[in-house]
Amino acid sequence: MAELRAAVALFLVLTVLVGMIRVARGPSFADRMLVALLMGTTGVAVLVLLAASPGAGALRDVALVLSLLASVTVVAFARLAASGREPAAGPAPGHPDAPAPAPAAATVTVTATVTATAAATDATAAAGADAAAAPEPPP
Amino acid sequence: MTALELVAGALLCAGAAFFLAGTVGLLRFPDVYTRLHALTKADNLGLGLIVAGLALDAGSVAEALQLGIIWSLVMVSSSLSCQLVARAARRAGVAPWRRR
Repeated sequence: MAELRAAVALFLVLTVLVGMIRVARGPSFADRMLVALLMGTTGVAVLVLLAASPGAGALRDVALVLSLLASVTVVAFARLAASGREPAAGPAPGHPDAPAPAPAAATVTVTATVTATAAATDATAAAGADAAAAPEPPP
Repeated sequence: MTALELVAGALLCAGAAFFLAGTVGLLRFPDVYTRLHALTKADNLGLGLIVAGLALDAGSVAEALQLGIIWSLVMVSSSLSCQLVARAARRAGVAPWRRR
């Protein structure tokens, strides 16, 4: 049973990696945001699977927190898009004036998936807060 | 390998299959709205099946209940975020796909 759980968890991480192709292709900013949604759900599934092994029950609490943080990411993204400064064809929500604050607060480094999602949350939240603070930035 | 374990394993495999379907939909569907459709529905069902499989195998009732709480939270938050993404895309002028 433990082997099956590990295999399924590995498979889920692989599906997220394949889903990254959509980030590369785009074409719109919302398409890229979809992968953050995918990562949230899949990350919760992976954490829940890993939490079933003996002695790792705390990961279930991490899954609980991640399920909430994933939605915060999307809310921040929607605010950013609504403020009229959407990164239409740009590389990512991590705009030029967000000087890469990602790794500093990525405390939930349990798996690679979680790290990536936390970094994405962080960058988007920072960009969202930035946009909320200054709704009409100088061009 | 008891019958219960067999059922739990089958549920885990079915959940993984739904996650695969969600990713395939994300890659293959033509626009944001259809991709959202594939992603949110298939992935939440997959998570539900995985949670069900793990809950069957759980050590205590409290553990199974916590799994259930996680699943319902994910369902609420992902239906909300689905709506938000679709609305943001719509307002930004992403046109829905049409068959030519």
